[in-house]
Amino acid sequence: MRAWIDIAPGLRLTGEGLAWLTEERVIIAADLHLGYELAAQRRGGYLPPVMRGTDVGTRLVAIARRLGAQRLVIAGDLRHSTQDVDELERAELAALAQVVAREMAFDVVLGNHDRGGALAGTEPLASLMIGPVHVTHLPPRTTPDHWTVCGHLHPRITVRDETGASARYPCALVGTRLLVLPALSDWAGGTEARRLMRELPRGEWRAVPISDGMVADLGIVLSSGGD
Amino acid sequence: MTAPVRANRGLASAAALRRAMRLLTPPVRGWVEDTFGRLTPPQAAAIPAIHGGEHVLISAPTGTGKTLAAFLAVVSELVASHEAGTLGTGIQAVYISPLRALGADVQRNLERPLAEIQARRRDDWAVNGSREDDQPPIRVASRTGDSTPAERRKLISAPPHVLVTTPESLAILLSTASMSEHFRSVRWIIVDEVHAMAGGKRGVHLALSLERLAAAASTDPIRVGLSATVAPIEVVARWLCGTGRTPRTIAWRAPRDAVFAVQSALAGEVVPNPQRVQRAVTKAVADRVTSDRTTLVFTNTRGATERLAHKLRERFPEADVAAHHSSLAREERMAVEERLREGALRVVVTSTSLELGIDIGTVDEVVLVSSPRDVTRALQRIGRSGHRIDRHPRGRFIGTGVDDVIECLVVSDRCRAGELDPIRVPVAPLDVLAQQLVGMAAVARWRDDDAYALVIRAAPYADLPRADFDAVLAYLADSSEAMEERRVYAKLVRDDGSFEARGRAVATIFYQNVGTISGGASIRVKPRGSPTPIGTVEEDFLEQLKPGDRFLLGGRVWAFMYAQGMTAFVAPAAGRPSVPRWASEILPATAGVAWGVGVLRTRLRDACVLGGGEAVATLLVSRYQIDTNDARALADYVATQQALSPIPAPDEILVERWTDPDDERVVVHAVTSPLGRRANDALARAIAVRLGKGSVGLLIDDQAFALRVPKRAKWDDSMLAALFDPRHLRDDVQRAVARSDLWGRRFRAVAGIGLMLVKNYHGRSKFVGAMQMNARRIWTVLERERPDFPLVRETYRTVLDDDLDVPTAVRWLEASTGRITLRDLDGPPPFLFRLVAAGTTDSMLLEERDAFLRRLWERALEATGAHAVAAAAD
Repeated sequence: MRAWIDIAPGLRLTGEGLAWLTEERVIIAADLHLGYELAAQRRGGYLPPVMRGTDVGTRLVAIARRLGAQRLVIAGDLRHSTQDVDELERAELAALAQVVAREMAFDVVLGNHDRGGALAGTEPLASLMIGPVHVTHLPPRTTPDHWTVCGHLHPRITVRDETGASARYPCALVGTRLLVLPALSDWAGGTEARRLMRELPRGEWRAVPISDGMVADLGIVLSSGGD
Repeated sequence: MTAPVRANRGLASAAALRRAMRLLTPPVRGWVEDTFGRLTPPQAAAIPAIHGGEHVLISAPTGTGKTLAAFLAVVSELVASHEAGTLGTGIQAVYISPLRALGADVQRNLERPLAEIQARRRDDWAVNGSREDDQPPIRVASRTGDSTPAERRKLISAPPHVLVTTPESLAILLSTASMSEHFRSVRWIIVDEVHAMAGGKRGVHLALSLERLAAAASTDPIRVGLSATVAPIEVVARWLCGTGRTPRTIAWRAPRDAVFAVQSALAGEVVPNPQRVQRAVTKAVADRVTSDRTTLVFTNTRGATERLAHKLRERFPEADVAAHHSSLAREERMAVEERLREGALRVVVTSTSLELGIDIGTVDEVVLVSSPRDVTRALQRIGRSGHRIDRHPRGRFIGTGVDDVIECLVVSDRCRAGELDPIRVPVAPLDVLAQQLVGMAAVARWRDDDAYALVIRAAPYADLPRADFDAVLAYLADSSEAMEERRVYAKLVRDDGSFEARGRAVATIFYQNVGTISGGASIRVKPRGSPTPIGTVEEDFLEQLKPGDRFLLGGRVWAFMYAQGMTAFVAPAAGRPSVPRWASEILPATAGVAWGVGVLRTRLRDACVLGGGEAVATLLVSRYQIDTNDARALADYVATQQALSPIPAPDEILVERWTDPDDERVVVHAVTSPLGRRANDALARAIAVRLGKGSVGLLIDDQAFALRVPKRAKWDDSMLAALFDPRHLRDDVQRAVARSDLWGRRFRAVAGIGLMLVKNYHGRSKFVGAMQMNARRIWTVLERERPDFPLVRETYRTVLDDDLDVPTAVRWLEASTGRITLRDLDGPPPFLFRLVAAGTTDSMLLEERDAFLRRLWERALEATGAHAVAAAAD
């Protein structure tokens, strides 16, 4: 397995599930869903805080240092709750922004969960063009003209061997000029890649599982809009 | 493994009956004399005990009047209080039943007797010249999940003397502040259908509610438990009464000794085709219907119920045949029950929904299609016939396959001998504790010490360590977290050795999520083009299916086609299932029944060794009255197995293996183990983990289990002693289960009960649904980050203690040490056909997830090197 694979010239997928623009020195992460634990507790449940703003920020900063990245872009869904920002969630977001801003430039592309304006010190952008690469949250409906990096779908893939043993991993989906990133959140469930096909532009899609900081391209190819 | 029933045979003396009758107040006594003539023996034993203030557990078959025994004793006391002018206004008696559809029964068992008793008193007044209101002075009301808001409000404004409720509704009432005052006056608690609850978490939940109710009453109420025949009765008695109270146990069995018969429907073949079996079953059932007035037929699945009812309607007038199962609409079920009581039906086919005590009138014979897998369940089903104390229940088992016929013979023998499988009460589940602590906090501020003292009075929690109790409180108060300000959403506030609910929303969370019955989102499965679903699968199972995947449902293999909303469309398929499925819908045989099958197989083997197939057939015909053709098929089955691969004794270990015909890279290693699925599941997983690397596929049923391992990992003789070593088995099971999906699946239920992943919050919101869906993912995070979290520990406990049967597996390995045979075959022998065709399938990764991915990646490199290398190149 590899620490990263090339998707297109200057565009790599890392074992952490990030896109890495080698020329522009930018890392792109999708679907952090900060405040998930708070949302669970506000709705009568409980999750112990594992994805804290500080912890996630520290993780991203460590990756950026290793790669020499100078800018972090979030491809949407920085925060989880689509409403009710309260003081606690504000504090989580501020903690993340603080840890990241000390090290590098920081931009947020607006996700469907991100409401409430500049919650992490930066006003979310509808989309963003970085060199030749377009960053959005939602996948485009048709094959894009430029290489596009997006999130939103939380793809996962189940792989199986001859004894029937199986395991499920977060994965990236690679199609024609489109890279769908896995969700960065530890809590994120996800949808089996095969069931996401109808949400994607027509064509062939490579599902690339990631595990423990490594990428394993098994040659799994799915197709959308086929029949 | 089993405990015989100790029936108390001294109950029925005429003097005892007269004595009990004299204890009833005159109007109640008169009503009994006019309605029944006399008391039944269980009633005669229970009434004096209850009158004398003793806790009582009555264990007797349905139809012996045990529910009325409790009601008569209590009603008599209430009438006496009323006549003495001391009947207060609060609730005097609480009657708890696991069945929500109580209305009709309560009306019959309680309101009608009360009205008739009142009518007698009115006649007396006419004679004596006294006057009183016509209304019965003793009021009854029920509170279940079906109660309307108006009924709920009335309960608070005008509480009844007798409250009829379910375990879940009781917990809600105990957590409702305005009810507290009404519970102070409770003097009796009657728990019905104890056998259906004591062995599960629902019973643990109720045991805590009983302690809460006892604590709410000003004096400790008398507890009366009503149970079908169960063993061991001491365990059930302790569950009912908690620590520090000893009930009088009344076990009654004597004159209702049942008549059992076993019949086969094999169409004379070892592997008959399903249509022929269906025809043979239909004919066998139809033959019983013509000779009896009302026949009640039990099958093991809803699908089988529908198929059989459909076939019977082709033979009898539609109006004579009815089906009854839990997915029918309530109105339809009640209409069937009503017609049953009126004797208007000739045959009713049901799965489990008529097992419990709804009064169903006079049934002459019960027919059980397929082995009921469990002696207690068999007796309960058969007890629905001869529904009067003076009539013998009659039960007829119809075996629908060679293994099934053998198992029916075992179950029927054990029914006759009263060899019941022991009931097991879960030990101190922390999820139920968490839920009930929230319920307690919803109505009062509790000192930690007082709450702990209450909890350990409930039998399942008698040995609960204080540290575990404190850990649950810490979770509910989120007080293990470092940041003070995060606690604003915690359920409890702790302060100075006490705790209370944080705000009113907490009570709402409790009301909306009360109980232990988990209802994950279920997806209907329909064959394409068919209007009727064949069953359901869990949402997360659907997640992993791709078109063409084969899986087992309702005993048949289906190919997945596509999903639309909450429906999955499938087509019938052949071959082995390709996707593992935790087949929770298949009833497992109990350890005792499974062992009995192992013993009977050995006996048939011995006949075969002495006299060949002829001797086996003769034994089956003469000893068990099996049909001659079917006996010959069974004899073939035994003789073929014996010729291909000699049948082991139950305490020998036989490993048979062959190359998987579907995938020659895989060798199947099958172990004959007559221990029941729960022990076999534990054993299969432990042995897998002892193999140490790679992965295995598992096949598990009640008589055997198999491991599908890659050819390069084939076993040899030198490995056998270590693989089957009884030492450290529990540790290996624990390690093993951590390597399968079992934990994640269990965690969802545990987290739901423990109010961590709530099922409802102001209705079932999208987020709440997503959390439930996400349970497996959440489990992997928690298990890594918080192994000591109480609900993580409870998940381990549930799987190891409740789902799997490690002690039986250990005892078997100890008993068979040194007697292990490894035998190579060309394919599965007859005794393993069922395992291969229909066993529960699962798989385990014996390595870390990234190592597994690496292995697959390396293989992909070898196979499609060009592609993978190109993709990975710079």
